[in-house]
Amino acid sequence: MMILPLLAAVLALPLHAAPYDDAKAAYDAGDYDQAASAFESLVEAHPGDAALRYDLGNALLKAGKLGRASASYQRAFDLDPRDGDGRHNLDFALKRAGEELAPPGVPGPAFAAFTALSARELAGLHWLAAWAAMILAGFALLGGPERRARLQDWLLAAAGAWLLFGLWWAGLRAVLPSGRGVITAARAELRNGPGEKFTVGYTAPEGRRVRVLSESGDWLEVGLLKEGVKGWTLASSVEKL
Amino acid sequence: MRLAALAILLLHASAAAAAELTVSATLNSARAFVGDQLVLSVSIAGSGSASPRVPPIPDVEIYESGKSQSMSIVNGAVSSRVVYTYVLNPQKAGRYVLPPVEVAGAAPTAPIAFVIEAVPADPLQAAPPPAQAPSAPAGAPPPQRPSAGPAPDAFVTATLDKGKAFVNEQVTLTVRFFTAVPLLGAPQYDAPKLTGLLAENLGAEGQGTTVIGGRSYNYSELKSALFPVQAGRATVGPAVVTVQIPRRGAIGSGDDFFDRFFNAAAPEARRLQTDPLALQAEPLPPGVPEDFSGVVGALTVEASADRTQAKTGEAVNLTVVVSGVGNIKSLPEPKRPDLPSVRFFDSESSVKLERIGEKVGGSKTFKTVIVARVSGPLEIPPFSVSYYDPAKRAYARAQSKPVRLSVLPGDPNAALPLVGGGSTPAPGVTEVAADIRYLKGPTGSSALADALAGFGRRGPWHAAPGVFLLAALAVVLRRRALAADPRARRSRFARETAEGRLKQAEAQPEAERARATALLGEAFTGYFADKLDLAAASLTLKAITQRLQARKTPPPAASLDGVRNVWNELDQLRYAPGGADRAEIRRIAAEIRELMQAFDKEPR
Repeated sequence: MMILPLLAAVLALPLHAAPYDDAKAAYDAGDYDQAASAFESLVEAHPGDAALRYDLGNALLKAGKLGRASASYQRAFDLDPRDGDGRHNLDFALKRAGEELAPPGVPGPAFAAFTALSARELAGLHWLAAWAAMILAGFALLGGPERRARLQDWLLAAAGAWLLFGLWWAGLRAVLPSGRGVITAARAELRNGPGEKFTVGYTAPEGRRVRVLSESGDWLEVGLLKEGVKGWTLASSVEKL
Repeated sequence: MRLAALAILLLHASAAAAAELTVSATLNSARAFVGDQLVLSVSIAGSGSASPRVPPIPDVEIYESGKSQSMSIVNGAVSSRVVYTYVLNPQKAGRYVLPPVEVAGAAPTAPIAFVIEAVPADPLQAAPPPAQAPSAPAGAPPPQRPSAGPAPDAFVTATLDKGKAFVNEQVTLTVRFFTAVPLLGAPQYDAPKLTGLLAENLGAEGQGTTVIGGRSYNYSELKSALFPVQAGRATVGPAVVTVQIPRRGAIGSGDDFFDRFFNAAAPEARRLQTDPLALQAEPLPPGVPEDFSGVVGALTVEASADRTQAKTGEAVNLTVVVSGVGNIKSLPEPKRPDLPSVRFFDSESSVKLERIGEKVGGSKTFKTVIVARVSGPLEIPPFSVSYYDPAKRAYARAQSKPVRLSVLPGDPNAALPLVGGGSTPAPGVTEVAADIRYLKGPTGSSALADALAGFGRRGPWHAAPGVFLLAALAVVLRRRALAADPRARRSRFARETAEGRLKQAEAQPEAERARATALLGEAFTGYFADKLDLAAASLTLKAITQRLQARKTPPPAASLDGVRNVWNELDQLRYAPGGADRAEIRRIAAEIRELMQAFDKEPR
């Protein structure tokens, strides 16, 4: 039975590798649009592969599509935040749009430590610790004093981990909230309402990260995370993460 | 000899004049906000043609805005005064000191301290746009002279095209001089004194004729573009025109030829002046972009290099031209891209102003020398400049196209051209170009991360440990409750205890019939003793029936009869030799079970 997954992985490798080689060849030849298209197909087939999303970001950035590149890097970062190359390229793309990966005032190493675990990993660890803490507490309650004494250290450790991962997860969700997006238009106009008849209050450069606050037809209300301002822009100007 | 004496006299006079050269420097305000402009006036009184040298101030852009010169002769003494105007454009908040301004041949000025404050952040509260005063339509006749009374021979008016404007937004000042009589000599015009405003002459003067109050006037007009330098009230002082006109009544009024002749030859000097004007300068709306240039108008940016191919270490001239409408003169240099692979040298700027309709505009050219450090394709990212577009009432950004160069390997030992300063990079690993890192290749997803993520997505399953914990808690509480109430505990476990004894009785071998019989008795009496909270040792049939009948819902008579029957049977067997046989024991045990089942079901 153990052989089956291994066999499947081995069989899958050539299927994966051939399109990848084509995409890489296009990238190396400077045909970035072709490379981006090929990487996009690979990402669709393997959505959980952070490295493929990173490669797609590279091809999009070289093709001059800063916004879409930034979105792809961000997705790669969400999947594998510990990848140094992914962090570097995301930061590079964000700087092109006047932002940085680490929030203003937060030292880079501190932010790197804070984001060492992804939100999905923290969610899993949080629930794992919660299960352990509650099951241990249940057994400790049902057992006598001896069992309670034996389980006490494990219970404290599980409860501490539950608290730690829970707070960490909540903090990460505050810094990297859901409903994020990236400006993909060359210069998105943020209006005071969902329509052309409203005046343009701000313009946002391509690649700038936004938070999608609400939707109305073809319009999205977005908030600029860095400046703390908001406005309405066409949904086609934003790629939701 | 007389010539030598004259030369000595002239030299002495010029030396005396140089000795009397005095310089003063004044700032229009000692306190302003970031984004405001301060106006520095350096006044040089005396003779000489020396220009002031305004020292640079870190984080403050300084631009020369023009100069004005005046000369006067009082009692035969000639004195001149040149006022150089500079615009100071602070980039950051802080306390600054303008070092002494130096002029050759004169004592330096005293340092001037000023404070720049950060703009109060209030991004959500939008400032209302300044009300635009209606401007006169093109081709409209010149305005009527406001004063009543008989139409004068000559007068002068001054108007602004709007009463409110943003800081650095153009306001057009029109000064019109009207005359109904021929002038004796050229009029002398003294420009109005401006407070809080910078002026640019719009050049061409308009002329024409008009009829005011039934009298025909020739008029000429002079337009100037004014730019408020900071928010608040700005003023335009009186504009003065001094004219020589024929004395009133002289022309054609006398009958005598000589009278007419001499009166016509005696001109009358008139000093005409306008009323002062006020302008309300409004701060720009919030949301100022980081690369805001301070210009209110419309701009375009173009960037170009003098070649498309160069070698590493070779100097390439890069030109960035910002052109458009607005106060171009005060435009700062667009921010250079941060390119470690390229060395930028100091840039030089030049301004070309021109009149574009009623607006002042032009272009400002920034020329710099760049040197590529590494070979390969080089792309210098676009230069961008933000400005405020009053027509759209929004900030806008003008951006050039990227400049692309093909850099070939040069002489690795060649020194960089000596164009400007710069430090030699330290030996070792030096980052020469920031770029993205190369492809990674598929790595698949992390099994551990996927497992954790999958576990985290279990949703309703995460309630399971909570349910288990609550169940455990319920069990513990129940246990505690039973431990605290022995009567309830006996009642709760009465049937369980009796069942154990019945099974023991049924399991007794044939030889232990007496023991089995005793166990049946213990099961029966023990059950009722526990249920009714009585002592098993002193339990009697009467006590059982009395307690059962005393219940809120007494058991049916059949059940009581069953109790009596079993009690009596057990009583007989207790004294029977050898006790009951196995079949009898099973039968009685079954009867006891039925009774227990019946009593457990009945309400107490």
